[in-house]
Amino acid sequence: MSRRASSLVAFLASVASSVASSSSAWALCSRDTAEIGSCGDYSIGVFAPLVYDINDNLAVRGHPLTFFVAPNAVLEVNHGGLGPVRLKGEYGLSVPTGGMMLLQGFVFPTWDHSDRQVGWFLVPRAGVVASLWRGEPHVLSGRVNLAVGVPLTHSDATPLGGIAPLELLFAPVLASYRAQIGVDYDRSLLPWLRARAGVDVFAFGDAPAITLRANLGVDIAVGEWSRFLVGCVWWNSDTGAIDLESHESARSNDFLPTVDFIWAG
Amino acid sequence: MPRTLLLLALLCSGCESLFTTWDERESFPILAVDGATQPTTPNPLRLRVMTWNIKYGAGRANFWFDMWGDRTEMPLAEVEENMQGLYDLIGEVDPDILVTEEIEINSRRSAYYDMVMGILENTDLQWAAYVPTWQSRYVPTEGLGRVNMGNCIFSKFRIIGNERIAQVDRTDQDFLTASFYLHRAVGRAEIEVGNDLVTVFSAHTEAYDRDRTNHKQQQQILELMREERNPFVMAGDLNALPPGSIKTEKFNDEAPASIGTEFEQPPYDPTDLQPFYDDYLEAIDLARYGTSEAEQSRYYTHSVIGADQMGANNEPGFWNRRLDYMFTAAPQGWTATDVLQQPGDAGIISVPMDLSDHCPVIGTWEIQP
Repeated sequence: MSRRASSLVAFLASVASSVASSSSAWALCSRDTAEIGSCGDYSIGVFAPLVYDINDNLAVRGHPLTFFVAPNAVLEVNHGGLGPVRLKGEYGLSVPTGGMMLLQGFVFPTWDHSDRQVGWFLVPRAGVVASLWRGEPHVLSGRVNLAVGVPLTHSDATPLGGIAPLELLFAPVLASYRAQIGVDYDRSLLPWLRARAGVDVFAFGDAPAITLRANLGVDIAVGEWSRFLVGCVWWNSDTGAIDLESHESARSNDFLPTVDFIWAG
Repeated sequence: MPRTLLLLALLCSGCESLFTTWDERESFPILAVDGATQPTTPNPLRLRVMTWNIKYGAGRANFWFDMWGDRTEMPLAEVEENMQGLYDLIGEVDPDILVTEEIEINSRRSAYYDMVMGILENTDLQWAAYVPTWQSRYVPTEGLGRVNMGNCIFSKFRIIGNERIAQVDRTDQDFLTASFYLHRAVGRAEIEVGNDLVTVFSAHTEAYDRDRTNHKQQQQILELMREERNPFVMAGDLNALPPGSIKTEKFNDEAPASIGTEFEQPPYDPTDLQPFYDDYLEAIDLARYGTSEAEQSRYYTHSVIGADQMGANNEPGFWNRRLDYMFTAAPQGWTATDVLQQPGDAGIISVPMDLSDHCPVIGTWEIQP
């Protein structure tokens, strides 16, 4: 192991140790479930969205980093539950065009010599999350949602290909819609440590294109509400790759690390 | 710092990296049509050879880097239509060996159309030796996305070896740009013709360099030709003018908007290819090429713009310089050579001006004269 890697392991171990020694008084809650307000009044990560609980039945969610170029918000509504199952509705709206225009020249063409353009879109989104508690430490959540691109003006932008998360991000406007169905399992291992695993299936476009995602990770408590997230995600998608031996289509498999810090209170 | 970011990007991209790095020499797969059979050996041993830069099946679409338009991609139907035109002309020439450059197998801009399989399935050519020169999973420039473009040698006769020989890269680009840019290569295919083994090289040297990379790549190709022990043809787009060319600048197809950009045409030095002509036999020798612009224009092979577009000199587009070549070494030689500029040349009815920004060079390679 290199000196840098050794230093990183030592640093993570010391963080875990200090977290463990100072966190016996509080337990880390499960996140991204159907329950509103169970993890504090607000939370925000570097990559995770800002979530603000208006009350026990209503919360609002959005990505502040992109808000000013691509306004976006999701309203989370408590729909009650049946026995151990809780239900939450998600109703969102975004306007991604400003962000797409900023990416012209890189992700999208500039189109300097013609009237081709990135069009204006509204992207309404609706979904439901159902969580099953069989008493802590287990939480099983299922989610299904649909985002649709509603064109307001003509657009010449087409699906990107190449990288699954990027493709999915813009799928509602470039491929008309994006549908997601998934399930997460979240389990408390220690008061300051939770493990998470999940699988999602995404569909978009006419064919439709199918993308699979599986993730595995841990949440490490930092203080009463905040946490570090460390894990990895596997993407299986059609990015246009082919097998050079046979020249037949081949699905791409990508493994990416996931790291975030969610500050909550 | 850019290297650190790039390494991070590579790590994060998992199994397939965002761009490709290459070894100096690598073997590549050989493709064959189902039921491919070795033809009867011609006697005397002569093969019809054709070289053509097919512009990734884009016909006369003006892509952004040509600075005459801003296209970045084509729908599948457009690529299929363009490819049908290429198949028709290849069928008219009916070559035993076809050398192509700028052929793509799964690029976003050409609707992921597999042009290698397309030519195998739509012509009488049976074997293919493809080597990539631009293989990037995602090029973050003008939405280009996935690119897999290269050189391919097709043959009616069995190809038994396919090697990619890396060419030197440009040194006038920053690290990030260079990583996602083309990495030029020479393809070397060994072909079984009866009891003989012959070699075909495919080449496509740099077009936009400011550091004489093109000339260094030509020197590499010369070395490969000198080392070759089989009878050989070296064919391709050398992005250089023949010695003695009269017209060397201010071409009609140079877009005024390209001046001062990375896509400005670098100056040509017509002496660059003199060593090729000194030691080898070109399909159109210098005596035939002539000494006047009127004579030489009959053998021009390239025009960025098509016939329906007015150029910088206020003339409609037509072939305005020679960039494509076929060399062999004595005692082998050439007969029945031509540049297929327009209908009627060598009896064709296709319109090469509509099919690519290069036109084909053809000839009969006399292996045993």
